[in-house]
Amino acid sequence: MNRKEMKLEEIMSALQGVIPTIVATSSADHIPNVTYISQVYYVDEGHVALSYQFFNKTIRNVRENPLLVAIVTSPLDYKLYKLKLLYRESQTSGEIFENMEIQLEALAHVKRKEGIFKLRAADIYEVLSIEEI
Amino acid sequence: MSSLEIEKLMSQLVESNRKMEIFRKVSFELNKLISLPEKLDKILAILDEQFGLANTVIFIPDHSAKVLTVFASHGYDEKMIGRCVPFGQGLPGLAALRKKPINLTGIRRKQHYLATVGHEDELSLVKPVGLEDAESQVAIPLISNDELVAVLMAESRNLCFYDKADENFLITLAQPLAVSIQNSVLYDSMEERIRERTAELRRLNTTKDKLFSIISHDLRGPVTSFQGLTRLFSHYNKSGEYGKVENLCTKVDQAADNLTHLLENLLDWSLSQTNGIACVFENIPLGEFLLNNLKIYQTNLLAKEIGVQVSVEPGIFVHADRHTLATVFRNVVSNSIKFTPRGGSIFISAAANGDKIGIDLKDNGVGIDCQKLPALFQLHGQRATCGTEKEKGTGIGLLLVKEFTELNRGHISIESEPGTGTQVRLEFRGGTHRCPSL
Repeated sequence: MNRKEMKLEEIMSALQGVIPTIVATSSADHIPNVTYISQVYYVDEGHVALSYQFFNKTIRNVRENPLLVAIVTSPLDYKLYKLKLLYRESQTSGEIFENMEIQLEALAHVKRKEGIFKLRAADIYEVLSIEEI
Repeated sequence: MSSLEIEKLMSQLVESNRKMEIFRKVSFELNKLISLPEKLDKILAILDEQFGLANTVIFIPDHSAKVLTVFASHGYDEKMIGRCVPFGQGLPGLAALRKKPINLTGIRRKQHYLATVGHEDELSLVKPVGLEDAESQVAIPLISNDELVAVLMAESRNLCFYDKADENFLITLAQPLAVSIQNSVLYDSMEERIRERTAELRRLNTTKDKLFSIISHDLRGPVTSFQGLTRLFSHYNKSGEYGKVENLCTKVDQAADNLTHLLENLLDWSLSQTNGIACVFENIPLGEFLLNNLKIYQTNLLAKEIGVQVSVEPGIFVHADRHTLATVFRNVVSNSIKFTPRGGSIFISAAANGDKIGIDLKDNGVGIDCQKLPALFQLHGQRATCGTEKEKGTGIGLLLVKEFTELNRGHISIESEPGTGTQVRLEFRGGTHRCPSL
């Protein structure tokens, strides 16, 4: 396994959301939760964003314990990367929120657009480290 | 610098050169003097050939910025041109509404994920304009002067087809494309306005020509009569036949009155023509109207010794425009006089039939060959036919009669037999004024 520290720009293909991301969180009392999410969005060289569409265990855990680990996969060569993330803030407006909202809206061009298809917030995370695994 | 880094830089250089080449080719096509659809078709073909964009569509927004319509497409089996998508719907609709590029990958997998976490058994998806099973889509709004000019959409069945670099390249390409489309659309709309203005000018010119023709046609008869009288007047004066001169005075006076009346009518009518021929409908008492118009031709009738019998049902009226109806009637009477030999007869009758008024003008003139009847109401190939005593005409009389009859929501029919005579039947809306009971 390659433990070399990497830059976010080097793993852009893994942030396109082609292959679902595995995320691991834990509650304040250290009960872990592992699940899939659709996509990790690139924000800038030091930050990514996750969509907050409904209140689930991942969101609840992150609000209690801001550390999160995401495993993203590049669809080009199927390489896996582990991202250690720290929850910073939730944005409900601005360019990042709008870009994520428009993606969700475009994806869900369904006749009924409520509930899951509505973006509540763009959760911004600081990237603490990236490792190829 | 390591060999790996050099290799990476070389690869980036090759990619940049390839994109520059595409940009050059697209710019070359944009500068060509060809129609916009042809131009866009070629550009989409270049994007396929050089960039691997197999399925591409260019949408143009409508004036109200509510609907996008496919203007050019490439790589689809089905006919795409003319298909519509509302603003805000699907990838192109959203890109148009938000004026932002959108890049989606793994579409169906993500939709399935959304349906699963949203506890939806099956998503009720709106049918997309392009591929129904697209996995990657990118939509770039083409904006010029802050105005949405078009939307370029590319799609693929591959899971991950367009990366950020592709998106940025398409955004760069979108700028000259937007300016070119905007210029072409502006050019087309100007051409359209010019076409509309030209059509309007032609229409006005035709109206003007008709006006002159009518004036010429309607004036020729009475003026010729008047000219005949004045020559006779001069002749009697020179020959000292003063008694006959005195007799003529009344006729000259009457002819001058009729001519003035006719000129006034024509002037009124010509003034109403500034915006084309518009009818002002009113209830016209028919008996009085027919007799007044018939007076204009009294001299001609006397000159050819043609007898006229008028039989109009009392109290009937037609609902029509006075000026155009007078033109209809005058032209029909004038034709009858023209083609009825000396000593002949004209019968005018009018009767109500429900809310319709039928007017029949029958003469025992030379008649018309049945083969010539269909051509009577056509402008093309019309030639004036001289009357039984070489009376001149313009050849448009019956054309005007038909046109003005129809303007008055009426109908005209002609029955004729060579050597026997002609019957013109006019039908208009109208009715009967009831006489108060005694």
